[in-house]
Amino acid sequence: MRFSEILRSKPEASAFLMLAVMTLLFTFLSPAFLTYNNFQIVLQPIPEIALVAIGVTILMISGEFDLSVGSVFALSPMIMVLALGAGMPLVLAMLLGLCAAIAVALINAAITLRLGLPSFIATLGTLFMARSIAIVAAGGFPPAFPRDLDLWWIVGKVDLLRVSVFWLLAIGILLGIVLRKFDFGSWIFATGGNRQAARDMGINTARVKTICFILCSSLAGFAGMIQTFRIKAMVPTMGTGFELTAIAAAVIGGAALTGGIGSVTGAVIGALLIAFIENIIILMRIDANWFRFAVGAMIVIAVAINKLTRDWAGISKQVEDDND
Amino acid sequence: MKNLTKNLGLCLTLVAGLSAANAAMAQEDNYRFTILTQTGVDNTFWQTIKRGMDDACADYKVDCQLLFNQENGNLQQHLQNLETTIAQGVDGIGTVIVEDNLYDEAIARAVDSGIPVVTLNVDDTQGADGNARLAFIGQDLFQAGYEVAKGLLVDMDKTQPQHVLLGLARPGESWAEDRIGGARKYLDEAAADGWNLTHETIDSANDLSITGQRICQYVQGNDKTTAVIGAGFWFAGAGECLRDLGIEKDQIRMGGFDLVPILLDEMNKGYVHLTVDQQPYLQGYLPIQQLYMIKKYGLSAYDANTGKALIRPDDVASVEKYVGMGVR
Repeated sequence: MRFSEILRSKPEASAFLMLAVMTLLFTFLSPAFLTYNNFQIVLQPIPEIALVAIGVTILMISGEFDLSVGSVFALSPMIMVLALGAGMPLVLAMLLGLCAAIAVALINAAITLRLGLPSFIATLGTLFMARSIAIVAAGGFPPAFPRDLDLWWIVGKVDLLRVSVFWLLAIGILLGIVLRKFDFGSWIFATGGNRQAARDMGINTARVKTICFILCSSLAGFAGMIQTFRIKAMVPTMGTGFELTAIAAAVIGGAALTGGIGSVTGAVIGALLIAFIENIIILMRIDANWFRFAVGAMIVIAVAINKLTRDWAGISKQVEDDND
Repeated sequence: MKNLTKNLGLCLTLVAGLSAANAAMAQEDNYRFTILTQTGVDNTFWQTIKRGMDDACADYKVDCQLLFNQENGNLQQHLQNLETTIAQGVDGIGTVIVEDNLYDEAIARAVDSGIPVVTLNVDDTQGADGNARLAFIGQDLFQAGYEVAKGLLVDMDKTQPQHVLLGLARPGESWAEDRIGGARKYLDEAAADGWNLTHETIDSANDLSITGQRICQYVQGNDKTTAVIGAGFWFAGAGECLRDLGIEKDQIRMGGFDLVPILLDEMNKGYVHLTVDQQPYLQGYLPIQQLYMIKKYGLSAYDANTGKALIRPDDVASVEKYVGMGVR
């Protein structure tokens, strides 16, 4: 397979290329970048960002958005921590937290699919509602985090990495296989690519989208729990603005805002790229007032290069076809 | 029997009289006060202010409302809420001033129309000279930043070079700029006295995880860092990743503001050394008390500095129960 063909057929390929180029560039810009200690820190939140980005990507492939993930990221662990405080066993408390995430997903799906409102608006509403519930549940104050939990199996340290990276890998590989090898994966692409055509093929598109909403919300809730376990604290503001980071990661990773295109690998690469960009700006000691400008500019450059690379690959294919 | 009837009649008359008096008093005191903030409802710190406000409103039997912003930090929305509150004709207003010019006209109009306005938590940087508000109840933010830097560095070796990371949680918002500005002032003064002391400011964000990450990334890239000062409590999120970097307790001194469970935990672990409690409960209670006194007795408003109390690890045990109660 030719290079241009790989770039064209795999939405994450150009993002991967970007990641490689950026890594080389950042290594040149700061000697502290490609070091053990730096990667130990940079990789810590990656599972959290990437899991949310994977959920958002899959939902975007199906043709919908979920802006409520930032609030679900706080709601699920908040319910879990409160349940732990009430004496519930850890696994049951986690399941209860995930139930809250699923409840938000079902509301999102109902408003979007039954009432016919755009998911952008529906989930904007639940973004506020879920955050409010998280605050009300805790009475406005951060609940005490239980200090005697055994959390090694979820956030324990394994040299450079945390165990949460392996959770990300397991979930990512599983969902990647589902997307590429299972009928359900094809249904998701078909639903987002052309909903009417998918219906004509006999695909229950409403069910596909509902499952994607549940998956997206559950991953956001689970990611929030991982962060809570990692920092050993729960505050109601957790995850504020996370929805935009997740969408940015998905888009950098090659997901199309119009649906039908995207990949799990791309979402993970997008999350890595955003983390690397923020990291290099800190290492380069950019002035505080310019920090957000620098992050924003780097993200725009990354997405633009990604698009230009894919456009170039498309043109190359066209030239080849014309020559043939 | 006649006496009994007479006494009963007297009692009923007395009870009826007291009820009427109470009702009249309740009616007379049924003031409506509104407190406004630029932050969202998810701000933990403001929940303690709300607790103080609610208690004062219950004590003085007045009708109170705290207006959070739907969008955290949206100052136009905050101004809109202020304008709406003035138009409602409430009996008193408490608000933050996080931008020196934005609220000047609205607050002057409210005061001119007889609505007393006090500021709480964050004031105009020019104080009474910059705005028509009657008084400020809160912390002298600049001075508090100065005290944190001074208190944090007091035990450090002045013969050795020191590098301090300043975490500006919200660039452009006066509360954060003032605190970090105060800290910077102390560091510059100490450096001018001959101490080899350098500092650098980063946008550290206001999220435990993000702030923790940014501090740790900075520290591992700048291994001369010996102290960290945060503009809020979020810097406490760095404790976990500092341990991952192999940094021992007390190796890097960290200090900042406010009291939350994770900050107290990190104090116990030896990674946070100082915090300033600005007593937000009082910032909710005192404005209502003052507005009530102004309306009921025509008393004047007065500035109140709610705190520059430095809390160190030795104090954790004594404040922990009050944090749990949501009043500190």
